[in-house]
Amino acid sequence: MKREFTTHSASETIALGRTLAASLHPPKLVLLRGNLGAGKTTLVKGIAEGFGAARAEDVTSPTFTLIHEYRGPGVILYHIDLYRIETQRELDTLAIDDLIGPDSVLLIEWGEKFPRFVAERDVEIVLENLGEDERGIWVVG
Amino acid sequence: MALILGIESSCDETGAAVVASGEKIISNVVASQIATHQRYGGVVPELASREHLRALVPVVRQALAEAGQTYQSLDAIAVTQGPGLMGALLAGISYAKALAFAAEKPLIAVNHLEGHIHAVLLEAKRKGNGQMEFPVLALVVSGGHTHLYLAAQYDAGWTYENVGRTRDDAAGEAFDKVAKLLGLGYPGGPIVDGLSKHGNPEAVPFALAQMKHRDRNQQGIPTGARVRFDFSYSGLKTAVLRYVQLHNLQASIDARRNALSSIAKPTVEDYLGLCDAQTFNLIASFQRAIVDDLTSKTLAAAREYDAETIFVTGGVAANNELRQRFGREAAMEGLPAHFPSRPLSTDNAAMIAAAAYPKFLAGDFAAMDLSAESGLVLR
Repeated sequence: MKREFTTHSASETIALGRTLAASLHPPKLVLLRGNLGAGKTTLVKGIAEGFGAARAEDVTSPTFTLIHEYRGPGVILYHIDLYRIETQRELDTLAIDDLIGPDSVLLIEWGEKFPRFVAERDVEIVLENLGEDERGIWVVG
Repeated sequence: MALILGIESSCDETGAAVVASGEKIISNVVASQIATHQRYGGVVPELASREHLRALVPVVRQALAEAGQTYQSLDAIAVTQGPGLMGALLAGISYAKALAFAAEKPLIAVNHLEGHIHAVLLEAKRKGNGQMEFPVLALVVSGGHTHLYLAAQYDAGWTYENVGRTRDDAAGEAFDKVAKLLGLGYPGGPIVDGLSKHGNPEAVPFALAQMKHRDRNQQGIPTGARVRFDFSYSGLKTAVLRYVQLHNLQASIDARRNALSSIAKPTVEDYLGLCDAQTFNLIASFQRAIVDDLTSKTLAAAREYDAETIFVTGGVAANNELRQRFGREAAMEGLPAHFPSRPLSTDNAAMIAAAAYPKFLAGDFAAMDLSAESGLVLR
């Protein structure tokens, strides 16, 4: 199944994330694809709110910190950013398999760099910067 | 004199240091610098538990050897409890606990962010002016963090209140992502800093989000909480990307990236030869926007909270323009601004051992069931 959305501001992207949370029942492995500035972290702000796991303003970029964890009722949300991870060996040291459990939802940025995640993903969300504040968002799976 | 061994493993770097009474660094070792570690696996960043585990023993041994100390001659062992990557933190904590148990030494848990703040005190004490007027307003700014803490003294130790933080990207992350976007190398902070002085910082006007506000609840009603000074750098990154697209810079960026990829260790001259005036202007304007924002919000917070002293610390505190601007503008308000030495700006273990000293004096020791907290809050 493929769904398509357009948002016109960061707050609309957050609102979309809130509604998407309802279709991401754990366990799930979700790939977030999109270039720099496409709105991946902004969408995660909404998804985390939708799960009741964090306030939008508490969700920040995991580029340096690599893995952020948010806990909500019946769900453990992991926001993972593989932007800095280049090799399989570096990926192995993150032990992402240890995070997968019955209550877990993994939202992975730059996961498409590794064929394993492309093969194993349950849902793929593609974001594209359409200019100014407009974003195209496609949800597959 | 109290000798404290500090161990840091919260993110990319494994470090160990011996610091005397929170003011004199006897040794300070980080894994990426030592040959023994390179023999074990080269320059892979210490991304997580297994890398840290491999690095911990040689790093601690070297820190003790350089200090001329043994496990027995130490007075306490301090370790970073958080915030950071769970597996990475656990590696350091497990090792520190085992060491403390075996050597029968007290164990002290330290918040990584408090460590950064104490890196400033280490430098001030080295210069002989460790007496601070409180409250201290501390800007902790790095690749992973952008926080403003108001610090007060409480007995021997310090207490903290967060009065500002980033809503999206940390300032150091913006430096790295913009450098990569422009086909420059990693880490981006020092490169952008070095190239900025060759451009006109007023060439490209970047507007940054202003987020001074009172805390509001979900209905948008003020909660009566104190004024906050939050940061946001995600939009700035996107604005640079938009500038690149509007001015068709992509072809020259790709050419620069290709040229740099064939140079093992690019020098400043290499970068200078591969950038044109428009790129220098873009880089200088980007840095100016971040420096403006960090200084103006920090000083506004200092006025709001009647701070007597300003600290600027974390990896981005090594930035030259940021140091100059803070020095100048804080002085205009009659406030002293303190920085760590450049080597202590980035993650290190000396700051952990230094931050542990007031806890050592207070007998504030960790239990043997100490565990990592990836989202540990500084209070």
